[in-house]
Amino acid sequence: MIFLSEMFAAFITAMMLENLLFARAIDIPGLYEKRSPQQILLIGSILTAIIAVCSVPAYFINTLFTSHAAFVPYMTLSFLILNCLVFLGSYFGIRRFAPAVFAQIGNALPFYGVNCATLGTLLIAARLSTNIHFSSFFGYCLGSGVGFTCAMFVIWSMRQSMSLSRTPKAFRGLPITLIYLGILSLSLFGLLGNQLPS
Amino acid sequence: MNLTFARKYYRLLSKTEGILYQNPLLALGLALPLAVIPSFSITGAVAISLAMLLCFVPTVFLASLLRGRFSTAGQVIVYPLVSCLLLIPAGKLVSWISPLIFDTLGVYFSLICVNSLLMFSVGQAQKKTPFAALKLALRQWLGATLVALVLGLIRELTGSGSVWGVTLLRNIPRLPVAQMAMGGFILMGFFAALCRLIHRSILRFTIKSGAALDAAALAQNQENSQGGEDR
Repeated sequence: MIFLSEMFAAFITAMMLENLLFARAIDIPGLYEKRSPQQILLIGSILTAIIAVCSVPAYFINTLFTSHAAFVPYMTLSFLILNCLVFLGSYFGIRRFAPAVFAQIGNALPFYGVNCATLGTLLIAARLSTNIHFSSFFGYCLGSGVGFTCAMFVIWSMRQSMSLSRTPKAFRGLPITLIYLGILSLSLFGLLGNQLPS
Repeated sequence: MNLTFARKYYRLLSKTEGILYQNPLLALGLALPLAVIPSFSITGAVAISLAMLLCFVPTVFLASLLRGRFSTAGQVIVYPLVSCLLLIPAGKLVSWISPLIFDTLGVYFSLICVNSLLMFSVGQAQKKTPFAALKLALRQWLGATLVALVLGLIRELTGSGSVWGVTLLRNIPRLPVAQMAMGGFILMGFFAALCRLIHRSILRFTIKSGAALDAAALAQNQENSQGGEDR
């Protein structure tokens, strides 16, 4: 029960309060491109699955590295190698067992497998606390992936609304998206408090 | 004279592609985490820019040397790993800027090796010669650095009234929100819109002046032809 409650608390924190996009400005290439909700759900699911799978060995790597100070500078490298290995597994797994899905996003899949969101989540979860439990670590990573997917849906709905409104020409596209992200970030910071993300 | 100005402007645009024109941050929205969070102060912006110079530029150059050797899946593994290896010596160099720089940058320092600008530039470098790829990488880096420094300067000045830790503005209300993620997003959005507005205004001015000159030339031609007929 404690395991589940810890995991849920970390999940909600990562998904809502410390959302990767709104609170930490972590994005992936092509986030602002026009996509359908189905594609967003598919990309988000793959991203979340990769982060969740990475989180299991990453927890043990983090425990090992934090106990030996000499290894700490190599933590990013180890997490990146882990991320690459999990990405390769998922890449070939999808190609072998789900060719229809691979045909749909095959070209873009590498960019969703290794990016700021996947590596950033592992690094942030590792920095949360030195004596963090596995349940919190896993919950945080899972919540980050789900939160990022939700953030992509929010961006999608914003783009839909914006396409029907009259936006000044200079603000169309990226500028209005950034301002919208800023306002959403402001609403989350009302809950999180006045502090810089690290 | 206005047409000369237009020509000069277009020449400037072509020479500064990636820096002023088609800036990777303002036009393409790349490297957003590195532009929004670490640029809360000019120290952070300088540290990230320096680390990017050491990691990003050599990696893109290497990508052009090894072009065609890896598939897309291979590229997203090999080049971030190369960049991550370069990040280790870069970290030692950046620590000279401030002993607490890694505490302030947090995970964002590590994210240099997987940022979207690197992935984009590596993709572009596949179609270029090594020298052209080096030029591209330097332009992209300079464009990103320019924006990060301007954002860092504005955010530090408005947030804490200081630049590089030296207090410049005293007894002026502070705006701490400028140093947070939301401040970075909103400022960057307005900055991108401002740059676009300036570009559009210049284009409109050159088009109008060009049209006016064309009309004047047409009128003069008509006058000349009428004068010839009278004679």
